Amino acid sequence: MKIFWLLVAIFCIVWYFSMTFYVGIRGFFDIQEMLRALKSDKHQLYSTREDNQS
Amino acid sequence: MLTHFTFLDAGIVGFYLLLTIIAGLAVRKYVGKVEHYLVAGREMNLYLGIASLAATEFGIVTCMYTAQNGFKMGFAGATPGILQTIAMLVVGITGFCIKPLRDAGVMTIPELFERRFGPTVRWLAGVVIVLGGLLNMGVFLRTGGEFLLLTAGFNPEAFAQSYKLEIMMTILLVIVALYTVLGGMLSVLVTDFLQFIIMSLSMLVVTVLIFIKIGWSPLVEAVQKHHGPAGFNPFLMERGWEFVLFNLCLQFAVVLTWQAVIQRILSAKSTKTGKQIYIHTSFFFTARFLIPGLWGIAALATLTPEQIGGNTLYAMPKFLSIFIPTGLMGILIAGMLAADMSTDSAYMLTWGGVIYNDILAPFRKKKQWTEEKGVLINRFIVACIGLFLLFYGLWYPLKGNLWDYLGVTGTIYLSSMSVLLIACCYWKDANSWGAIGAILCGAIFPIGFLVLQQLPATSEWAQHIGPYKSGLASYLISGVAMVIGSLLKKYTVLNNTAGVNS
Repeated sequence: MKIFWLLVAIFCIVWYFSMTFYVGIRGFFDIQEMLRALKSDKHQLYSTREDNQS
Repeated sequence: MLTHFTFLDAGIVGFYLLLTIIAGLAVRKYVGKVEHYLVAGREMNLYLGIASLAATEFGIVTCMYTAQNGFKMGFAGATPGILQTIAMLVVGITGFCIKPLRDAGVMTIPELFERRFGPTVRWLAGVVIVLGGLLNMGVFLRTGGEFLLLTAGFNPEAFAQSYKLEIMMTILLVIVALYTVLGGMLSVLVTDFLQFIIMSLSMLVVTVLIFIKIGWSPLVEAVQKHHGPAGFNPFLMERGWEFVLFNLCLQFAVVLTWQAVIQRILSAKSTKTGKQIYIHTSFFFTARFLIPGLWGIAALATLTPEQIGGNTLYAMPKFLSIFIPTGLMGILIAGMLAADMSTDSAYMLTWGGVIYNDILAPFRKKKQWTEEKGVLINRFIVACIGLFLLFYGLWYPLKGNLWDYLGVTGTIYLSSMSVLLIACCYWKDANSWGAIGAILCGAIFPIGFLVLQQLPATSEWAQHIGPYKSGLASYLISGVAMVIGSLLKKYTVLNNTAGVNS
C-alpha cells in the first residue's frame, strides 16, 4: 500500500501540473470564443427587439 | 506572534485581488438575458469548464477538512477523493443521468423534476436544495477566515476581540458579491479560470516544497507510527467498510446532483462537452483530497502536540505558518483566497439560480417576466444570499461540531435528490407520491440521527449506530420511499379507474 500511495502522489503532482499548464492556455481561448458568441447573441437580442418595436 | 507574512506577501495578495475585480467586472456587459446570467448562454467549452469545476469544488473549507483527514487517518483519508474520481469517470463515460439532464435543456435539476413529477415536487425540491446548500455554505466564510489568519501566523482568538476577522471576511465577501451580482455566471467563469491557475500553482509549489524539505519517508513513518496499517488501507480502519460504502454513495450523489457541479454540465456547449468535462476533471478529485492530505500528514510528522493544540482542524494551517517562507506565503494566501472566492461566487450564483428558477416559478407563471426584469431579480437574489452569508455565517457564532453540521446539511439534500434524479431519468413508474416521500424521508432520517446524538438519553445509542450507517440508511430509505410511494399511487389510480369503469 505504501508504494501505491507513492505512485498516486507522484502521478497526482505530474498530472495536476500538466493540467494546470494545458488548461491555462486552452481555457484562455475558450473565454475569447465564449465572449464572442455572447456578444453576437446579445446584438441579435437587441436587433430582434428593435424590429418588434418598429 | 510568529509570522512569515510580510509587505511583499501583502503586495502579491493585493495584486491578485485587483486582477480578479477587473476581470470579474469587465465581462458584465455581455449579460443580456437570464440564460446568460445563470448558465453563460450555454457557451462554456471544455477547458474553461474544467477550470471552473475544479476551482468551484476546491475552497478553503475543502482544504481544511481534507488536511484534517490526512492528519487523523493518514493516506487512507484520501479514499473519498479516489471514490469521487471513480464516480466522475463512470458518470462521464456513460452519461448516466447527466445526459438526459443536459439534453432536456433545463437550467436546474428541479426544473427537470417538474416535467415528470409536477410543479409541487419542483418547488419542494428547490426548497430542500436551497435549504441544504445555504446552510452548508453558511460556515465557509468563518472557516476560511480562520485558515487565512492561522497561516499568516495570527491567532484568531486574539483577532476575535477586535472583530478584525469579521471585517476582513466582510471585505472579501463584498468583492466576490460585487462581480457575481453584476456578471453572474460569466464573471464566475472568468474569475474561476484566473483563480484555478493561481490556486493550482500555489498548491503544487507547497507540495513540491514539502517533498524537497521533509521528504517522502518521514511522511510514511509518521502515518505508520500514529495510525499503523489502517493509515494506508481504509478497510483496516475502525468501521472501514462503512466509511468506504458511505463515501461511495455520497460521492456518486455529489457527482449526480450537487447543483454547483451540475451547473457546469448545464452551462456546457453540448452534452458531449459536459461528459468530457467530467472525464477530464475526474482525477482532480483525487488531487483535491491527496494534496491537502499530504499537508496534514506533514503537520503530523513535524509538529509537537503542544504546537497542534486541541483542535486537529488547525494543525495544517499552523504547520504552513511555520513552514512556508516569505514571498511564497503571499502566493499561498493568494491561492487560497482564490480557492475560497471561486467557491463562494459559484455557490452564491448556484443557490440564487434555484431560488429564481424553481422557488419563484409559480409567481412567474401568472405573468411572464421580461429578460431585463429576470436579470435584475437574479442580481437581487444573489445580493440577498451575500447578506445572508454575512450575518449567518460570519456574525452568528456556530455552536457544536462543524462536521456534524456539514454532514446533516449535505445528506438532507443529496440522498433524496439523487434518488429523484435516477428515478426521473430511468424508472417509468416513478411519480409524485414517490418523489415527495423520498424528499421527506431523505430529510427526516439524518436530522433524526443528529437529534438523537444531541439528546443525553439517546446519544450513546446514536454513537453506536455511527454517522456512516445513518448516512447509508438515509439513501436506502429515500429509495424505498420512492418505490413504495410510486407503486401506491399507481395502484390507487388503477383501482379508481377500474371502479369508475365498472
